[in-house]
Amino acid sequence: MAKILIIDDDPDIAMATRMALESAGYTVVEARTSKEGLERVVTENPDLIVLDVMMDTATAGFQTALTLRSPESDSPYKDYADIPIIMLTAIHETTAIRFGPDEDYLPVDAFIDKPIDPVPFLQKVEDLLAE
Amino acid sequence: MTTSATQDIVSVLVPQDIEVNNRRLILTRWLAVAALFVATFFSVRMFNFALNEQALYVLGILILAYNSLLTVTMRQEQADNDFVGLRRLIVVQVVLDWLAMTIFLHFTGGITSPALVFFVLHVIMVTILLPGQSPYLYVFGVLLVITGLVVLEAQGIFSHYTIISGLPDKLFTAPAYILMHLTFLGTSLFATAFITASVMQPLRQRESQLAALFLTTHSVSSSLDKDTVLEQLATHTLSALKALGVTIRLLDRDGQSLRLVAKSGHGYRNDTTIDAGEGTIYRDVLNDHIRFLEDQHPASDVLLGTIKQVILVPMRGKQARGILSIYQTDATQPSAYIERFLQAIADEGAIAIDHALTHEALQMAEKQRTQFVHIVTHELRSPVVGSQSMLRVLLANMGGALSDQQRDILERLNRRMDALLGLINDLLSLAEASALDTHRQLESVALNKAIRDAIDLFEYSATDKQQTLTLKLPNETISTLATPVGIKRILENLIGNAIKYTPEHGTISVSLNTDDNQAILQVSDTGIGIPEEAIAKLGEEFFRADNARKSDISGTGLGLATVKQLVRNFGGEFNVESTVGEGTTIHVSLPCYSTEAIARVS
Repeated sequence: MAKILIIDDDPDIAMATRMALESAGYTVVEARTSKEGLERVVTENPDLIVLDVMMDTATAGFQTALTLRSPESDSPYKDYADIPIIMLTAIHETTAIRFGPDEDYLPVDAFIDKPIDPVPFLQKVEDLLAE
Repeated sequence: MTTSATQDIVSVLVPQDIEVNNRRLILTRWLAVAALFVATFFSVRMFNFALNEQALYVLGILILAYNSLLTVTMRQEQADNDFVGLRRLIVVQVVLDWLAMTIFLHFTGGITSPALVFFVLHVIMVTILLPGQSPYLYVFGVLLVITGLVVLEAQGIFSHYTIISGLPDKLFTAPAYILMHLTFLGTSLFATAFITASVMQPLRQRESQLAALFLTTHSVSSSLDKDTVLEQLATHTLSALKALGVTIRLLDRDGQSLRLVAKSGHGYRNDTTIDAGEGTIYRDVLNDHIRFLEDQHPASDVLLGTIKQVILVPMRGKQARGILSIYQTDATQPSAYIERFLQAIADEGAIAIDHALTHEALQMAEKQRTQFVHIVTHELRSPVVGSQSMLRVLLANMGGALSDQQRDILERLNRRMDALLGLINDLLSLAEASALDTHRQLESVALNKAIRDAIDLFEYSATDKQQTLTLKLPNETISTLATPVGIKRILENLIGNAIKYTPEHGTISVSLNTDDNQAILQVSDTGIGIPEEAIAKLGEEFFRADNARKSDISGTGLGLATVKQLVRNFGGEFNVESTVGEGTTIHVSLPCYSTEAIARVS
């Protein structure tokens, strides 16, 4: 079964996400910070990443996604650039990013608004893994 | 303000009389030529004057010719707003008239011509029109040319016309007669120029001072940014008074030292702060006394290099208390008038600085308020969102099977949390919408795409309630001038409400059209409807119609307030049609925006 990495500094959200994913049979690993998350990507090589947009700064998650998807040829994450990313957002935090002029270049594959609704969330995970 | 904008204001003030003067000169000339023709015709026929009729008519025609040419040139230069050209045109007119009058003098009897008096009139006009010393130069030239003419006539090199019968034949060759006439003419002309100039000069000075005052007031009141206001006050005072340096110092909070806040030009005292304690000259100025400091003054250490005079003017604002210092190379004679004039400039400046300071404080307060709302709501939201996520996982049986009672409790909790989150989000939206007024730049937003995105967002909720969600979009892209976030918020609220207040199996239709350059967004539902008496109050913060409050549907009454505020921000209109029990249609019209339309306007 697929392995999913959750990068989120809110333990409650992380727990809810984990319970939803585990109930569907996925293997779940967690990271609490962007830095730990990037390390986990390398050590765990997950099949999908669930990334919170707002951690220590308002756009930490966004920066993490950019780092992972960096187009530089010497990027240390270039082997992981194809892992699908679901970004967890809250209304009012990210509208500027989501509807900004650069939306064609967004480095994530899907957005899920918090609070997490487990059924559509699992559907999204399944869709992305199938692609 | 840029230099060119400043010049525009000066040009608006000054050239109007250049235009008027040009026009007046040309009109006078038409009348003069008419008089020339009529007078010549009748003088010859009724009074038997021995006039060279032909020569005078030719002169008249010449004047007509150059006056026509001048008229055309003037119209052209007026159309081109060529003020330098218009000013030059006045000089050209003066020279042409001078030549024409000299020829006229020659044909009407040279030194014996009664037309000599006309030169006095011309000197008056020239002194009004030309600045500084040029009228005296003109008088000198006139005398030189007339002397040349009469001497040449006396010598017999030019022919002489005696037009008044009865005058002695050789009068025009008599040196005493010539000398006498020229002396009296010269004296009258110089005296005329002098008297006219002494009337005109103070008038001109007042005029330029008025222009300076207008310019300063206009420039400082055109901005609310403190630094811009200060900088403009300094630069414009400098150029308006033709001073060498201007500084503005404002009193520090301690009320003891004056801090340099703006400067322009050079030659001023450059210390960042100067002491304005009791006993100093600066304290005296702050106590509402203009001071003119010159070389011999004990406080003359303020004078550097070529500066001959410093004028210290108190600035008497409510918050902006300080001193406007004007450094000059030529001393201005103190007078009640000049004091009032300088004080007027300083007062206008102080008012503008006061406004800028108030504006700055307001902006700061508004920013803090927005920040406060943002932080509080974000901090409130995190625990709510966390709790909700966990509740939903439990309700989806992902934490194990639930007893009926447990499920009931969790569902109640979940509903409470939903309502709380709704309130927090709505508060955030409203705070954002109010902040939009001043902070965000509007841009072109494609409505088709924004609507499609919003529909995507709500498809799940509609399917959940087994509602039909229909969408009708035009083929061409319709844009409006707004913020993407604002448009998203409007759509979310309208579509969200429609879904929320429409029972299961209902229909929600969203459409977009254009009418008369307005983008018309329409959201209809088959929901519970809004009572007629409540429609007028929709959009008031926290207002909810009776039937909405009595229903089980949670809501805060902030959604439509946000929509209303946003639509107003984007220059649009919002109205509601509804029948209780049948449904509601909300129309939002927003001005269309297209790049072609903008190109047409500019």
